[in-house]
Amino acid sequence: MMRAKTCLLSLFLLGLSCLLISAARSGQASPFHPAFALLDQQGRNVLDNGTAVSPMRTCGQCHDTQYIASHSFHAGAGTGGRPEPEGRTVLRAWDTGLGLAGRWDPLTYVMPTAVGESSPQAGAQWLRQLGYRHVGGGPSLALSGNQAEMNCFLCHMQDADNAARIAELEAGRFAWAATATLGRSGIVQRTAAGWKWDAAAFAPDGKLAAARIKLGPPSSANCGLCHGVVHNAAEPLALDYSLRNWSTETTGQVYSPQRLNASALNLADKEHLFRPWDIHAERLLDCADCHYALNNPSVSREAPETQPEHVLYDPRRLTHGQFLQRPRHGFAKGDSAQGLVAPATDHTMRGCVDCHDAERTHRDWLPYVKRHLRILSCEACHIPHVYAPARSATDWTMLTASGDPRLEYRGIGQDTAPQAGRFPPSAVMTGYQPLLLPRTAPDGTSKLLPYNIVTSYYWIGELEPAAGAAHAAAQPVPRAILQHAFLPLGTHAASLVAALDTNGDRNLSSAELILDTADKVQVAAKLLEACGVSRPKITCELAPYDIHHGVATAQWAVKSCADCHSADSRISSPLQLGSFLAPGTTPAQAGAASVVLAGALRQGSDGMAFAPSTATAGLYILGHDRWLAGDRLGGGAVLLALLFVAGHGGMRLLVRQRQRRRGGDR
Amino acid sequence: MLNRRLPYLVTTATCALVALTLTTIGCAGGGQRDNPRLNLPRHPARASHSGMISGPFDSPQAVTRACLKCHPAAAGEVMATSHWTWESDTAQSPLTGQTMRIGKKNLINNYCIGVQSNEPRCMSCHAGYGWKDSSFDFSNAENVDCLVCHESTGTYVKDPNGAGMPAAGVDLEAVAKSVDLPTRRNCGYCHFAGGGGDAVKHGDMDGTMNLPNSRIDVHMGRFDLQCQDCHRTKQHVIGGRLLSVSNRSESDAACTDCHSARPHAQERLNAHTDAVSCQACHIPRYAIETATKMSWDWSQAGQDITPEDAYLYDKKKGRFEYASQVIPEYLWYDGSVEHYLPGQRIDPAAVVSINRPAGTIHAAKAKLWPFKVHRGKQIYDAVNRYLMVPKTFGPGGYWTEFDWDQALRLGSASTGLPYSGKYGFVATEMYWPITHMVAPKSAALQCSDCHGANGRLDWQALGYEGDPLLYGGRVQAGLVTADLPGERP
Repeated sequence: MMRAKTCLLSLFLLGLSCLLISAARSGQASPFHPAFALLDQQGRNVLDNGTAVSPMRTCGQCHDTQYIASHSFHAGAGTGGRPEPEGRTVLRAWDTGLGLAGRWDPLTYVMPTAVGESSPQAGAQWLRQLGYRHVGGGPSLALSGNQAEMNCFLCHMQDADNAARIAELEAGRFAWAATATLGRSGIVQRTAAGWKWDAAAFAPDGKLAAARIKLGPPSSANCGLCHGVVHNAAEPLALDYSLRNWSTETTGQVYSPQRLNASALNLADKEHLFRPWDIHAERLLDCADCHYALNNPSVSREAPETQPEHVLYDPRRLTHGQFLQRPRHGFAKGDSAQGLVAPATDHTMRGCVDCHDAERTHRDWLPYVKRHLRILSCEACHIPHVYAPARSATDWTMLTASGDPRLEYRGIGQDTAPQAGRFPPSAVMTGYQPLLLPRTAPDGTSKLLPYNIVTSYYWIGELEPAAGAAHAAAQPVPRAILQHAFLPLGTHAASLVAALDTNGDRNLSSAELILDTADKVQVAAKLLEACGVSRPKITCELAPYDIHHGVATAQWAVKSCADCHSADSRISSPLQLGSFLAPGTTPAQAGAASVVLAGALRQGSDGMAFAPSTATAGLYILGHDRWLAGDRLGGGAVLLALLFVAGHGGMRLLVRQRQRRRGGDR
Repeated sequence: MLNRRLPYLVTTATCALVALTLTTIGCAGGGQRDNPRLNLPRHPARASHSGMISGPFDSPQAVTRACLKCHPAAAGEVMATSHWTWESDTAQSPLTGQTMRIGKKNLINNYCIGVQSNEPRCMSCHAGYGWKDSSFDFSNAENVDCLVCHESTGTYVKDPNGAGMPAAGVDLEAVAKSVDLPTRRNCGYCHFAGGGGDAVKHGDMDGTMNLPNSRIDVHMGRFDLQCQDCHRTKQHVIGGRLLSVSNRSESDAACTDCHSARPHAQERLNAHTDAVSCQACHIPRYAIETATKMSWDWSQAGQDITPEDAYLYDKKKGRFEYASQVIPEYLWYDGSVEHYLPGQRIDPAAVVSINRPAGTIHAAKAKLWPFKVHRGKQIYDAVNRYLMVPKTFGPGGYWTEFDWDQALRLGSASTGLPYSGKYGFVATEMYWPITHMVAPKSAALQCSDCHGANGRLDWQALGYEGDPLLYGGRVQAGLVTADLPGERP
């Protein structure tokens, strides 16, 4: 009876979840969402006074938005101090937290802004500069004077106008960011005087049909607005390179069902690249299928370590109504090397083996399946190549004439950088083979996972000491000081030109803006010291970025034994890092300590490279690694076997000859 | 000693080899093998005719006489086919109720509308000589045009306005000496140029197929298949069927003539084959390089619009729309067709289907097929309410006089359909199944092309409850009247 009830309940949940999920898959608005009034922060209908919409108030009419915002690591962005649990992360001295708001990132070069410690001006500056990566709420709310609320529309509305949202944030009109997100729906228009609601789009009672703005579960496209390129359209894919497409910029990951050769990119050997950018996108999986809300009753599950042995399925969970009221926005996640927020929810996401039976699908052809699966992540073989270019280095030690850092990319010709976000059409994109590094799971096991490493160079130095402190703490030299020091009049300082201009044209090209000798470093350091920076020093960081998207089917996966079990095994293939290493600098790893940079740095004429070492990773790869004693033992065994065979054969021959002689005698 | 053991050694080695081979085949096979090359027809041995035929020839009929000396049955075979008669099937006449023969000869289309009264122009694609009006002698074997299908120089062309006669200047002896097995170029001479120009009519056949790459058509481009490899021919009866002129419900050319019915390595793809035609996935787009005509509005003809543009406007013909890289429209199709028949009443307020493919989601036999839908606006008798064939070509025709009334009277005299004296223009649709321009499998449709948020299929319009990926296929949803073999209940 109990079992029957459980089955019925399961079927009901499955049916309901199908309906909910189908709304997202079919690109339709949720069929259940009722009409609702758009409210401002005072709880009045926005039509009354033409005020900005408040997502917290509007969605809060039915959903517990306070609960949602307080359980969202997207909103929280790692605020709340500087936890460093058991040395799992490599934090800098000036980091104040694990997320966007507290952890400094050399790619954005925006100093962390601790809520409550910053001036309103500093907070607003942070929001203007990094608001494009933040959904609102959390630090944004605090730093904007309670204006930049968590923006529900950004993730739950099809065709959200992210560009308009970012424009409002960058302009400092934080309260209007959520309203701007509705810009493409036609219910509100941008006018010279600001945003104006179209009353005709609303019902006479002032309510708006949910279908009018296509509200529903978040699609991959919604996630892609902040996380990277998601392309579901029929138009050929073109890539915009900037930190707004974070994962694409840092790793080259693209989530799209489109075939590579149908894209608008100048890919090498494009004609033969008929695989989709990501097979899961092609098979219609959305981000939320793996990164689901942890209390979603359709898919939530208990961690194996806490689930009793006798229980396979625990039906005691939220009803869908309860879930819709208080969906926990701490989403199931993995263990990203650079995404350090919410460590308590690491490894909660649905992984490859939750859907695929890897052992079964590989046992027909792969010898030692269990051994392979114990050492290799699925991604190690199923993401053999990243086809889009990715950032390889960010060099803040010397600014370009436009005041920007010098950028390097891998997977495209050397010294090729995007102009206005696009690589030149003539540049051939070769992509790159990711680095395979061991990552240690909480249970102590380690698997090889594909990574890109982004090298960052920047100056740290001591500025004004804090009150009562003898010395100021070292921190990255602010961008304004870098500009003042290196580009005092909008052009490079004369001393820099004298030191760096190798071709004598009185201009510093990108290739010349490299501090690769002690003399050059000295010239730049003096300029910084002249601007009040004490003890300036170049720091070099190596940030591994893990790669989980861009998955290929078996046809495109690594299958040849020789790819790994040979002298030039891909497991030990080196990855070119930055184009130089400043004298006296030792690169340091940034991010999660669970990733082990198992290998050695090599510096050559073409710059710095990282060469993985199987020995350092604790691996012995047949065909690649040599164990002298083992080789000798094996050789000896072969010799012994040969000797035995020869001896046995010889003895039989002797016996036979003797028998013949005896026979002849007879 | 060795000699005594040799037989045992050989036997053991052979057994081991056989076992190894069988094991290998077993491992590699894993299911039904799709080996289409084994199923390709064998062509007869080629023979050069350059030494067998000698001229000069004073007429094309003289060439035919020469051919018939060695191939006496050939003309008779050709004359029994629709390539000669331009009619093949039967239907019941809406006017008389009598059984009538139908075909290209008397059916109406929404391009140039109809053959009757326009024969001298249209017969430039007839496999014969001299069909200029209804007096043409269909029993005269000498009028069979052997050359258009068999010459191989590429220099043989017909006079576009000459009722099928060769153009002036054709070296008849040279082309006669060149005869060979037909190639794509021979078939394409007419079939690529249907509608009066390259790529106009079909959408999935055009001049790029003379020398295609695999991107245009994988069969012709990568494997150099000729038309008759699929349109298998016996005694000049060429396999296949054209939806625009035939109402036979069975085609004698199919993918499964060479391929397995379940050819995919992935079972999930094979599960599609009961409801989805091969073409639906393997011809993702048509008119790959050359644009095809998508619409033709005759009601705009006769205006002095300059400059005229062959792809936009022609005073003689009206306004056009062309497109390339076109995504097909998908319909259920069970192989049969509902033709518009001469004299059939129409509703001028509705779109008239010239040849609506039959089939619904409920018919087990029906599959989703890709179609080019050519939309037209063409002339009809406003009182009798049926489509008319105007005389467009030749003396008194519309292209000369720009007088619809006169053109309809002249057309009426040829078709026998009474003309009331009042005419109008009505919207029509004509369906062209897309079966050529098969893409390499690496370019076939993927899951997201149909099942994604921006998928190309409107599931509910096709009769499904929703995307079958989420709601189940038509069998699971109980939409099919009879179970299909191999489909899960």
